[in-house]
Amino acid sequence: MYRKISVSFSILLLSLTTAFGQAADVISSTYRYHVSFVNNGKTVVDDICQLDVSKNQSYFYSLGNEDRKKKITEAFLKAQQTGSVATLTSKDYKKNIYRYSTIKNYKSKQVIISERVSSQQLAIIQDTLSSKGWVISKEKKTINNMVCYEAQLKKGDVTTTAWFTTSIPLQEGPFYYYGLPGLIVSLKNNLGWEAQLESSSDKTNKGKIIKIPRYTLVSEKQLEKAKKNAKALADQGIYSNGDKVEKAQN
Amino acid sequence: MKILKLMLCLLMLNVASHASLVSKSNPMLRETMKYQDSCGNNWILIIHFEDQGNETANNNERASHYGDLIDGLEQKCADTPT
Repeated sequence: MYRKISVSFSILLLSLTTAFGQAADVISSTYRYHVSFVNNGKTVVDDICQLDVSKNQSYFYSLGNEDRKKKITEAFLKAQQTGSVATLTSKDYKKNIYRYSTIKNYKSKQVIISERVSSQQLAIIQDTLSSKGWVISKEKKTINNMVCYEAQLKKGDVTTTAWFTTSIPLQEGPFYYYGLPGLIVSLKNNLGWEAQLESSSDKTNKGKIIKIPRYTLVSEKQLEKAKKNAKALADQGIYSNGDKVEKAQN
Repeated sequence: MKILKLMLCLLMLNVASHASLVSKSNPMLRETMKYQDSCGNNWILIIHFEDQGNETANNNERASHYGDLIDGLEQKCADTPT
């Protein structure tokens, strides 16, 4: 009797933790933004990014990067089939992608920014999730058939103007922005970053689990040091894990 | 009682493996790709990465490594005066 109870209890405990853990990370809605960053008249970022939202967290990431991964995998599959070396040209490879990804954890109230440095996915805690600082004005306009309201956020030298809609009652938005009483539809800051909502609630993603690549949490100082070291080594043609580039004969 | 202890051990092992506390040493893979950058230069890119144990994870790892190298090449290309 005791044996039966303990086995049943253990199975129940395991299945409950698995089920609840996954349900909380099921994507409830998905939004796509056109993201750009223009610095001194030069387009540095021109990409489509996706915001996946679940009960526990959201994940904002580059679709251009996903496209890159697909292109490389396709090149390798083709090479395997033909018995040749995988080949790619710059024309096939998306440039000006958004190099960061943002995780907003609703439970810990943390905003985590992650980026790839020297074959490692490193991340820092950028901010805490808060509505503080936003000033909502009386200005309103219609964007994508949605009535949007203007709001401004000043943080240090950075001034951000956002247009949000209460018809999508989510305190969400692109990048690390959060805390307005509706989804951010359009956003611009004085550094040159812009994001415009392109589409919402892609049905193909609904029901899927948010997949966040594993990352290592570091301090801002550690991240800067890692980036500096990686750049210095890359300038000398030295990459991590013994990866290397060799000039081929044209 | 023994069954309960066994279940507890299994649970701890499960947690440990998820938290990467159980070290595994997978074989290293070496792969080569040809790449032509925006300036028309041809390159041979050689990468090494740990076998992730499944195709999807290996595809991700491969793409990330090549992405690092290609970004470096394209940056150099963009910095080169025309």
